[in-house]
Amino acid sequence: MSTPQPPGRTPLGSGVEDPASRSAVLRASGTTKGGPPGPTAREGGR
Amino acid sequence: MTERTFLGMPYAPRGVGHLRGEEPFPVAARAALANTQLRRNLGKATTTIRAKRAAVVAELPDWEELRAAGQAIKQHTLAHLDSYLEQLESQVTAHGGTVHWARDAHEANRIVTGLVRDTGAAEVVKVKSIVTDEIGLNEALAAAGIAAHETDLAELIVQLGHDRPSHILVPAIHRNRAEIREIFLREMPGVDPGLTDTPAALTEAARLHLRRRFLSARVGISGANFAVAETGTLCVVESEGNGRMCLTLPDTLITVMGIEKVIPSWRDLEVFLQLLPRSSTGERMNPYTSMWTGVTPGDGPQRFHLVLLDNGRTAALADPAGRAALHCIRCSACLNVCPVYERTGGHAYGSVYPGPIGAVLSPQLTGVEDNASLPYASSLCGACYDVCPVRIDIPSILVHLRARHVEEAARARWVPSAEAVAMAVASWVMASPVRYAAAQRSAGAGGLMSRKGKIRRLPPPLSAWTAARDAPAPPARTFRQWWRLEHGDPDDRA
Repeated sequence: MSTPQPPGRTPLGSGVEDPASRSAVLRASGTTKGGPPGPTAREGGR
Repeated sequence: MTERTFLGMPYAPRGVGHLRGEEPFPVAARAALANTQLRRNLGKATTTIRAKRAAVVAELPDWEELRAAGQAIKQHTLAHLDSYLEQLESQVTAHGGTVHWARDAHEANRIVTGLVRDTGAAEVVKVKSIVTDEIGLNEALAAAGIAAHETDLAELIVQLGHDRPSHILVPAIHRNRAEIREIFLREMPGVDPGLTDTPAALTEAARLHLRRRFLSARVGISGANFAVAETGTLCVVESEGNGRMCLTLPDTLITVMGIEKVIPSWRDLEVFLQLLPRSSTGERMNPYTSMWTGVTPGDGPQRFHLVLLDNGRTAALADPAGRAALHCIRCSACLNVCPVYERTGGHAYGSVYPGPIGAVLSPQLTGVEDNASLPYASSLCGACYDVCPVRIDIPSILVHLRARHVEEAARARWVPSAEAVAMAVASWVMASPVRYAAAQRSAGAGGLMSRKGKIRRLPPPLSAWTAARDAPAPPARTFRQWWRLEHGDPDDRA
């Protein structure tokens, strides 16, 4: 078992990350949605 | 550089990574087909894997129900992808990991290179990871003075041979034992000069070589087969134990994962852990299944970074007819049954994703214009659909992408293509019974160009057809002429 750590994103020392990337990927994956939602494994009858 | 987008979503950028070939598929395939050694190696390997898969799949009476469940889970997950990604991020972070988001290969390479630099390490060990091949991570690390050592046996063979992977699961499938022995003797430091080409001897040489890497590496880099959103747990399945070494021994672990690999729950993971090994290696269960959740003080890597990569995936997601390609769990069953792949091998596809799934995935990640020949690299026989463990209808997506290519190419041209002109003429001819009958009669002249029932060369623009195949010689009589001879003229009877 892993031990839970305090939440929060650790800043990168190298400062290479674009903070806009997170919102861009989330927005794109949310607004393009994958069609009609299907059931999960158990809901699907298995 | 101008950013190319589809419905506002960025495609995988040009000039980085390995999603595009230097030549279109027909040109590359012609060279591959001339390599008889390659065809022998591929034929033997794919035949063996096909038989193993068929045997273990036949053991399960509910295989089709499992496939349907896998398809349903993927459809559900992609329909709620943003929610599951946020849940995954939240759980990984809560368990001591750090999540990074990369829109494309450039960003992902910058993030990983920066993370390795921060540790002060000059080398890393890698678990087999197609997504890091996709983004060209090894080259980016090398440019930063960091050596990346592949530890999967087949990836090691490819790396030492300065070669490219040619199969999703078996990257060195195009090499036989004698070739591997030569590569080891030439490239592996300290190898026994008396090395033979028996599997045991070759594996032992690789073990000795890799063990030193495992014990000295401070940073491990992996991909992920699955990521369970509800707990933030990552999962890697493998066969050799090298993955377990890379995932547990280094102090820092960096995992690069395509955003489509997230699944909602452990109950869903159960489905995929039954589907994947049977479809990929033909095993009931894979030898090593490694799972980890964040970091555990005093046990395993003490720093864990998860890089979530888009690189064209949301552009694929935006296409309702093509997005099912993102359901792929990288089993490679479709490669092993494909008559085209079996003859050309993976290099001809030009992408790290070869075979039928590559022919639908690569063009969607790069934009169809950059991989326009791949959707045509199929006979549409449907064998890939039959074996896909998540029921991806690859033939339908291939046809859809061909249509997209034709439509996009037509929009980009000022002058109609020869194919478009031919289709317009065919449409005009077929719209009239009189014109159609006249065309049939005139086609009989093609018999003058035939030899032994085949036409090997037609004049331009029809030469495009006979460049890669023979055309059948037209019959001596048209169907209408034959019908009149057999049944009389229908106009007379009326």
